[in-house]
Amino acid sequence: MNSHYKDGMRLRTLLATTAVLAALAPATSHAAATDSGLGIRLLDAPTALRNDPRARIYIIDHVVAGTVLTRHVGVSDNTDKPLRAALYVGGASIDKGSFFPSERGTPSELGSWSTVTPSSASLQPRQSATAEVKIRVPKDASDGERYGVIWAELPPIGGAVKTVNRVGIRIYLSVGNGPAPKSDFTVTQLQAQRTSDGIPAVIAQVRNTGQRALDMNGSLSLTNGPGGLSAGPFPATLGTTLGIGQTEPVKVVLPQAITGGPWTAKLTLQSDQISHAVTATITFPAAGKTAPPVKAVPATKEKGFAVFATIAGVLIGLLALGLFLLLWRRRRDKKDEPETG
Amino acid sequence: MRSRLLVVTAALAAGALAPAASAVPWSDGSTAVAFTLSGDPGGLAISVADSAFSIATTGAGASSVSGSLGIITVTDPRGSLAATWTATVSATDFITGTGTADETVVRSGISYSSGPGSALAGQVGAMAPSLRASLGSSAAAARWTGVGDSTVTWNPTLTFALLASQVAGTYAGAITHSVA
Repeated sequence: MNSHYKDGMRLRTLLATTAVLAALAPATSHAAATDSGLGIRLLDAPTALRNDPRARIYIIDHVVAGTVLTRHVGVSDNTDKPLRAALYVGGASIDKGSFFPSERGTPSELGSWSTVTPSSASLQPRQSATAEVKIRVPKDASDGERYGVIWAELPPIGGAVKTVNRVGIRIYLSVGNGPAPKSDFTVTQLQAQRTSDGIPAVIAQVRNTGQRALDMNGSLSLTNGPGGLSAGPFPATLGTTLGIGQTEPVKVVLPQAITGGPWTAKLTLQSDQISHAVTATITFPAAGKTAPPVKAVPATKEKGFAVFATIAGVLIGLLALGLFLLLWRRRRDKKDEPETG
Repeated sequence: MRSRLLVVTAALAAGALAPAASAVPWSDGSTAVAFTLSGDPGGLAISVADSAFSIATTGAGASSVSGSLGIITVTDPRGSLAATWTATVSATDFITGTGTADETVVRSGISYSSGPGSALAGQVGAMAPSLRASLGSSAAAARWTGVGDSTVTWNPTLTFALLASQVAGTYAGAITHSVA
């Protein structure tokens, strides 16, 4: 019962956000809350990853063993009181579609390779400070990707029950010789379902086929529905982080008004600079049911095939016309022969 | 066609807010070239209400006790096209007295529910809440996926499972929120 309520709430939020997306409210400037607490941000990024949106907010790099990486972070006090933040690097793992930072004090490779200078920052109200993060990758470091976070952590506050806050910048560091390992993924199937309170959703199985972790995001559009209806795009609801070789579901929740179908669903997912679109014909089942999974076809391939088919069709048409003209001419020539001869 | 238009416009809107990359070369280490990111000076931020938190007392023999922790606010002014953050939560064991078995609530006996959470009007995205997540190990408290900036608040409920022989007292421990 409780979870139904939750789903209802989630749907309402989603509906609201979908409506906003449709209205294209560029309202983002007012989000700067006056008292947002302790903040951290990345101040520089490698030029090679200029076009990678993730490299603007996370430390993402590919280096050979023995490299020393230097990055800078800005730590800010967005309150009216002075704050003292501890700065350090901790490890992280990717599990069940989520990025999980380790608790403070948990040993990690990235943690042992990194130093943050200064290791703590005394911040005046509304002031910020810059810290340098040096990651010394040992010469004997094995190939592979490491995950971690640069943390700014506040001392515990409260009485008997202490609360600790930390905010950080993720690190996705790949170590190895040669060019950066490829990132890629495939979407194997789409599955339509409807919760017992009637909310439809599409679940895509996404597999990380590359050599680096991915942060999935994307949207789903429905076309060719009953009576030629179209709907969407609807955003994928979870910021799924996919570890190397992992397969995780990415879920898109849709408004209750979406009827059974069949619909042509087009799901576009991306991570870094890779984007894949797939289509499948899906039909939403009755409430509380999940439809059998449908194989997803790459939308680009389909488009490519359409172009190929069109060109082939035109060529065949021209060939037929040419043949017809040739035959017609021969016939006419044959007809002409006895008359002249 | 409409969908493509929407996506493009959203990209433009976010692009305008995205930190402008100015080519200021950095020279250090073997990843020699870096460019500087400018943008909102705040960065991803977290705050938790200062109010002293205590769990409501309960009569002897209760199997659990719950309380709300206070408002958690996460602000993301980075303006990314794919704006995602994850808040994870972890706990220590909660102890009273000398911390014998009957004077301890082990962390795996603590669960965390974020509640639905609320975002500022006009934000594009959705929060995935948590429901009775066990704090035996770090758990996802809330995840946000959206476009552009976000400010999201939630008031989590902590539930402590009690032993039949649980000793009465003021239990002390720590709850850590991590946002990245």
